[in-house]
Amino acid sequence: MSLWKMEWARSLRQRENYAFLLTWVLTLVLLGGLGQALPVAAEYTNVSATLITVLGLLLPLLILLTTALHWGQEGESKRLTLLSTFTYPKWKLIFIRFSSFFVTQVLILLLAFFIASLVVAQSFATWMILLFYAIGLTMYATALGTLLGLLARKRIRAILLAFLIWVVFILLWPTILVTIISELPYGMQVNGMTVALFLNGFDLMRVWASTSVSSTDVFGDVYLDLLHWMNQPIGHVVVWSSLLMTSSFMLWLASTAMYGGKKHD
Amino acid sequence: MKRLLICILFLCWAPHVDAKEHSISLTEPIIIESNEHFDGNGKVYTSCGQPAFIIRGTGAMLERVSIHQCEEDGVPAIQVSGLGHQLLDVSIESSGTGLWIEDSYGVRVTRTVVVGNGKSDGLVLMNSEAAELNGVVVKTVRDGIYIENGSNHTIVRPTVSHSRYGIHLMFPTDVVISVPELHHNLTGAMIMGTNRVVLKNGNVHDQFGGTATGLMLYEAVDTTIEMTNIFGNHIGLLAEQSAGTTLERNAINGNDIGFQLKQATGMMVLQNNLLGNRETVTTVDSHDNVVQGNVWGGATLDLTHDGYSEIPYRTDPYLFLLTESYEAFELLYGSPGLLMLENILRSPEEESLTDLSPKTYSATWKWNGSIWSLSSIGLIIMIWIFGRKRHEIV
Repeated sequence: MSLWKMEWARSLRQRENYAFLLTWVLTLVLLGGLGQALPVAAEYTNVSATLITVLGLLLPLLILLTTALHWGQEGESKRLTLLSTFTYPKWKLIFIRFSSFFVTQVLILLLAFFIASLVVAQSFATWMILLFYAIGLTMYATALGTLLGLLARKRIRAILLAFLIWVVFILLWPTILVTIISELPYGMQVNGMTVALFLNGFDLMRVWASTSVSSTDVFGDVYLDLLHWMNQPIGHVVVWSSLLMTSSFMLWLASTAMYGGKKHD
Repeated sequence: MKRLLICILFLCWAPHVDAKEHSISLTEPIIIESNEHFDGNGKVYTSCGQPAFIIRGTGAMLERVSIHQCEEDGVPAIQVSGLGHQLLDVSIESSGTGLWIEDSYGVRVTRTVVVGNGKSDGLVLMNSEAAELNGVVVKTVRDGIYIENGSNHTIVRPTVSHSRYGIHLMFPTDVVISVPELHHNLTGAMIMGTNRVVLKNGNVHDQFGGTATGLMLYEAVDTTIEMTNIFGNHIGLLAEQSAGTTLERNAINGNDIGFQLKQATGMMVLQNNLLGNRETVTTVDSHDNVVQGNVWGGATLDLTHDGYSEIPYRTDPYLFLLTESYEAFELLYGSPGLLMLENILRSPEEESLTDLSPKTYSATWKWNGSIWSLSSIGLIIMIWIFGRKRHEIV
């Protein structure tokens, strides 16, 4: 616990937290203000059409770059070697770093949401869904960034790798899907898209949040059953379990495959 | 005291007796002929297998009746034909069509309520002229108000919900629909094969189902939709093979697709508010449309301070065109990566819509703070400050 506290304090002292806070507050206040000026249906339109899209674009990029850079720096400065002299298993060190960073980011997000709520009127449920959406993205991006940072071992490589993965998972994802899924037989396309949804945590969160905050028919007729199920309690559990398992798997991969697992020097 | 108690008991019992007397079971339809006036005094007429009322001739009047039709009845509750009839304060519970008006002129229906079971239409106007429907409320029927052929109808303040089509127009001309409230239907209003239909000052919102459409125009000519709020639908307004449509000063917000135009030509899209739709406009083979002064929520620059932007707004239906061929890709709506894809693969000009001078628009903020939220902010800042305290490495 003392190591966790130490890591958490270190994480809270990082200057980039201020940049994160400013970014989230500006995003929420500016887009929320635009939505608020709508004559009708402000909540629905604002959240589903702009905030989810913009958060889904910015948040993964910033978190991926930050975490990958942290671990790349650790590798480059040989601090990992120093940490390996601890009697802790290495997976624990990774988990402590991951969880302390994650908790810090949740705290910053919470603060940004509270500040934005001072001038932007949304229902409590909408704020909660948006907050959980941001938390989900943060968790997934942190785990992915950890894996990439440990893979890269150097700062410059970590940044490049994180940016490349962001481009693939966020920017190129629709292009990749369009290319692959259109080659499938018509009857398999919806199933293909559903499987792809669970392969990319960022996309899964986007669909989950859009459906929760809007309605199950937001993505058309063919996904009505899937999204209706996703809006049930069991659907929420499966979506979040899937996200947790994928994040845990990436941390395990970072620990076992790239960092020597439970063994320590 | 005893007499008082008896009086009270009698008073409690009396209305029930009265109510029973008000329910009248009909063995044959009541026929109202020319210039006759039938006042039901709020009585309930129950009819099975036949209409409760048949109105014919000229200038008949039916008012203050409630009609309850047996379940699975396919016949209309009221049949009307002829000239200048009036129906006032009629309430119908029917499994068949509620009110069937055929070959008539100048029939006036006021404050009529129809509740069905979703299998038949609420109010039908067949081959009629100059009907006036005021304050009609229709719920859980197939089509709320169905009009086939005829002309010069006026519909004021209709409320239709939980039906297939709220208003369904098939080939009438010169119809004016004012202040309609159409919600929770599969389609708010279906306007097909019409000429000169005007729909104004309405609320068309929250239609349901995968194809939930606010207003659907099909082969409609010179339709005018103005000052109407269309929100919370899958498609706000769908115009297909329609010409000369005018869309002016409408608020079309919060739909998945604001406008969907397929082979729609000669349109005037003026001063509408299209903020916050997932896709503002999707266009296929639509040309010669005048688009000006709408609010889109895109980048604007008002150099002349006239309230209109000098930067044109161009809609791009890339995803729509994609999902026309592969509907599985509808899951990509709102995907951040799509923003890039749309720019790389720009749609051809004939499939996009350009507003040369969109209206500028600014955000608003208002204070929503509370002691609870301020305290929460203070608490989080304190956690942040205290959490930063240095813990020495071993």
